[in-house]
Amino acid sequence: MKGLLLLLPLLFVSCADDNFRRVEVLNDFRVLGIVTTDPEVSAAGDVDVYPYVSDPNGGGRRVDGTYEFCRDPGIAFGATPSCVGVAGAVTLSYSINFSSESDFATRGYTGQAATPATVTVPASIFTGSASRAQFNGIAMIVVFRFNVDGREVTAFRRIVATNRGATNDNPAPPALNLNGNPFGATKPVKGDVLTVSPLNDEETYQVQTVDGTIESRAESYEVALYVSQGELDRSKISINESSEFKESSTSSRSFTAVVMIRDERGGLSFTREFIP
Amino acid sequence: MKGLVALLVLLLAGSAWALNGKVWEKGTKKPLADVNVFLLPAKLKAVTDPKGVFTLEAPASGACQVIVNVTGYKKYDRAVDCALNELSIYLEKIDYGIYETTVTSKVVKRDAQAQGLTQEEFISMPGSFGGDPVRAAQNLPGVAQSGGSAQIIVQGASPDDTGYFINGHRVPLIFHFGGLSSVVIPQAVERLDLLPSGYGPEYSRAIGGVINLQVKKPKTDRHHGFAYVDLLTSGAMFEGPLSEKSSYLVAARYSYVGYVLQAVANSSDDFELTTAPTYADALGVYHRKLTENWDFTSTLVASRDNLELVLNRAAQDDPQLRGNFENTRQFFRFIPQLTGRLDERTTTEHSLAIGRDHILVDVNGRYLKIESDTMTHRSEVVRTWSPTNKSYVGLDNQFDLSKVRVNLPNSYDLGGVQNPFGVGDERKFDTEDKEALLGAYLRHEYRPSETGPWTLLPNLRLDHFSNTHETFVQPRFQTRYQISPSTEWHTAIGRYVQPPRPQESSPDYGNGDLRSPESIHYMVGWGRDFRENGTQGLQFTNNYFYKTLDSLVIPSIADNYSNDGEGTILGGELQAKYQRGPWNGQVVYTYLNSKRSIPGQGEYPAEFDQTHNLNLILARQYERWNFSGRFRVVSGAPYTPVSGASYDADNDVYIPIRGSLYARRFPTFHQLDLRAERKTIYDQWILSWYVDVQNVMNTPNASAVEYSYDYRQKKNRRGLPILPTFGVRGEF
Repeated sequence: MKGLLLLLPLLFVSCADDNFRRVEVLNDFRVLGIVTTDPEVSAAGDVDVYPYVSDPNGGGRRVDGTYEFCRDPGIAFGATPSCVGVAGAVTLSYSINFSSESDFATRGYTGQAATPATVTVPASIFTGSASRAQFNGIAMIVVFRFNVDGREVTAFRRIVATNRGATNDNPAPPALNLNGNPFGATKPVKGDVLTVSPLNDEETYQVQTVDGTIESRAESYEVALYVSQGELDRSKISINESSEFKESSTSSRSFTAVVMIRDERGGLSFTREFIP
Repeated sequence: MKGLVALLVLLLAGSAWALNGKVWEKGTKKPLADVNVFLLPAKLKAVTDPKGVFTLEAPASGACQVIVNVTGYKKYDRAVDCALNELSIYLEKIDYGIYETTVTSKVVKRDAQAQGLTQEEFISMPGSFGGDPVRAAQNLPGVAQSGGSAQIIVQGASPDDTGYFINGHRVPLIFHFGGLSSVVIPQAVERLDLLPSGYGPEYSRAIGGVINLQVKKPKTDRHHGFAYVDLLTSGAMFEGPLSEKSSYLVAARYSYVGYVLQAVANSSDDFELTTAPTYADALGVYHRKLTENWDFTSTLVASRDNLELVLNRAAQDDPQLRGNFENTRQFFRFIPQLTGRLDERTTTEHSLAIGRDHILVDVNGRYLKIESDTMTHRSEVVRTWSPTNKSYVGLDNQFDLSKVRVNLPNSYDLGGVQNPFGVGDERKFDTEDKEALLGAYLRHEYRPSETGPWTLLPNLRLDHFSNTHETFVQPRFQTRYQISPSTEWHTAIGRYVQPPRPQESSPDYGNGDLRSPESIHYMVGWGRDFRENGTQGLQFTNNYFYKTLDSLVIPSIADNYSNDGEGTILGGELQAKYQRGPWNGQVVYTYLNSKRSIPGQGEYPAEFDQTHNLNLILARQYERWNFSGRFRVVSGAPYTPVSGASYDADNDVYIPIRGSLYARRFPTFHQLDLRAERKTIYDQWILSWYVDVQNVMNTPNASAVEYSYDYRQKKNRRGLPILPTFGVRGEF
């Protein structure tokens, strides 16, 4: 709690350094999201997991790595997001070829990997767990590790196993608009505005509280925007907000824009726009 | 008829007239008694009564000269018309205190190693933002440099291990937002006491140390007051007699620094302040002498801090930090106190503090709300059995009834590196919590012989904590050895415990099986007063301390919190105070080696392990000017490097991967603060102004590390830049 109280004065002095790389600008190899066929599953369910990656400066290279799958070691309580040392962990090799896979080469080397990492939730995952944990969900994690440019890029996501019955679905892919219209062939310039239109409404879902009562809650979409050129005034917005280009796309290179939409409980979808 | 008139004129011309007058101290209007007033050339003399009043009778013709010459005051020598009937004489003192409302008092030291600041010391301390006592306490030996933090870190302990008290009663916080100002107006504070390692049995529940602010008693001689304005706050204080037996003091302050911030913020696209951050505090004291032996004092302390803002843009590294943000912290304490003398050898003191704490943190609809009704109680009886035996027996109890509403993810900040807001485990619940902290103590002072050098203090403290169902027996033994009237050795050893914080021991969201952290303190030291009963010269103190820390509460993946933390603190401190004429100076040095260990991490430096801490303070008074400066050099504080980060694709944040805990240090901290003050004395009031410039050299003094969104880039965040403060005050 004290840490939270101390957050307050920090707000006045913690403006990000202008020399730091901007979160919305695509350049080095990055994982922008990890997409699953099902964010929530029942025990013993199978899930296909796809990293959504970007490597615009990689020139179509192959990136090698691994993926690990295990029970969440307690990331929400401070555990390192890793399956190392976790009982029952599975580690397999994994690679992405940016020159031959998907449509990377014609879409600015940004998109969803073609090869899924397939994981199976153990049938015994609920054994020994409290009924509240079973209802709200017990998380497994999938951790991708890539060795790129002499550094390790790590990204993970949770697969939630629940006995709730109604499991979460990914949001429908949203529409990404430029100045209120679909993207055309002209690259954005300074002052242009990006907006996002979801194609479905946020879901409602149920949570069991500490005292055992069932509480109904509504999802709230969070939007992350990425561009390969220019700068945005806001990279993280809510569904009703917009983001304005602070800088124009001046390079002769192709232009890529990506929107990721998250439902705050593992659901993720995306839309990509590309201008050659 | 004409003859009769002429006779009358003649009679009047030859008769005496009366010159009635009063002698005051210039500026303060203090009546001066027993002052000789001479009238020339008649060579007449009068002596002022206790109200400063005098009467002279003299022939009412010609020119007269009034002369008053009193030690400590400038000579008054003025020609007056002998026909004058009334005369007010204002004598100007040669030396005025920093503020004439300043209290001159002695620090009451039951513990030989205790440190203290009287009002006249802290009110003029450079770098104390206009004399704030708690900020000035950072100049004391053993107190760490804490940058902009609103914390007092004592002898390498953790910030939460310091207990804050007002008139002996615990308060939830001692600083307003940002640590610029403590919650009591400085001029109402009689003294600040810092009880470091080895402190006596009167206090407990703080394994690091104790800070106590003692509010002054109102003045009874006449009405006093002052008002001030500076760049951050305005305030006023009034005090004086209500009757022969009772007196009052009222004070209040309001900070408008938020309006400046609001103006700046509203020109930013990043956020807008919907309510300017403000803080205010108020104080009231009522004192009544009930009988010859009994006194009643009631004190009301209230404080409020409030801020509301809208973060228009999400933080780049933490998208959930956006939207409305509100933080309110307020508390009040009403402290009635009864002191008395039961007989020639026995005194007693009883007090309560009744109050309420309110904390609200709201981050875009996720909140923490705490409403806590609290009552603390102290009673003490002091009995002098003989010249060699004296006992103090007391109770020290605290009762809390808290309503807590939480809808926040838990926070994880091992090594001082905070995980993103949205990653933590979601916590949502309402709960009520009752807590009783019961304490009793015995302090005994025993001297084997009346004239011998030894004083032995076999002290005992008992504590019971209802939440953890623990009872502790805490022996605390102190000795003093008087080598000479001006030189004394002292030692102390004792056991200290403090209950875990409510969020740690809560069965709902903490660990209901948690135990209380504890510590064993060892200290040895000596002091010598080279002034030999004078006021000029050198005072020297030198203490060494060692503490073991056990059952420290640390975050636990399996149980939320556990008692697996341990630590040791080793250090030494010295303070040399020198006064000669208008000069006075201090050298304060602390050496510290503070370590912690937790399973899986081994031993590492504590967060505030500042190996060397040197403070140099110099002040000079020159006529109505007072100049002072402080230079500090402190070893860079340790911090935990971040070796990488893992992208959390669900929350769209990077979770930092910590390197070895506190394995790196910031560059050496050094800062120069200067202060100048000028006083102008008018007949009936005094005008003062001051300029206080913090960090004159504008040294960057890194205090934190800033990272890019993915932790691949970093830079040190600088501390306080050069910060001038200007203030004006009038007092009477």
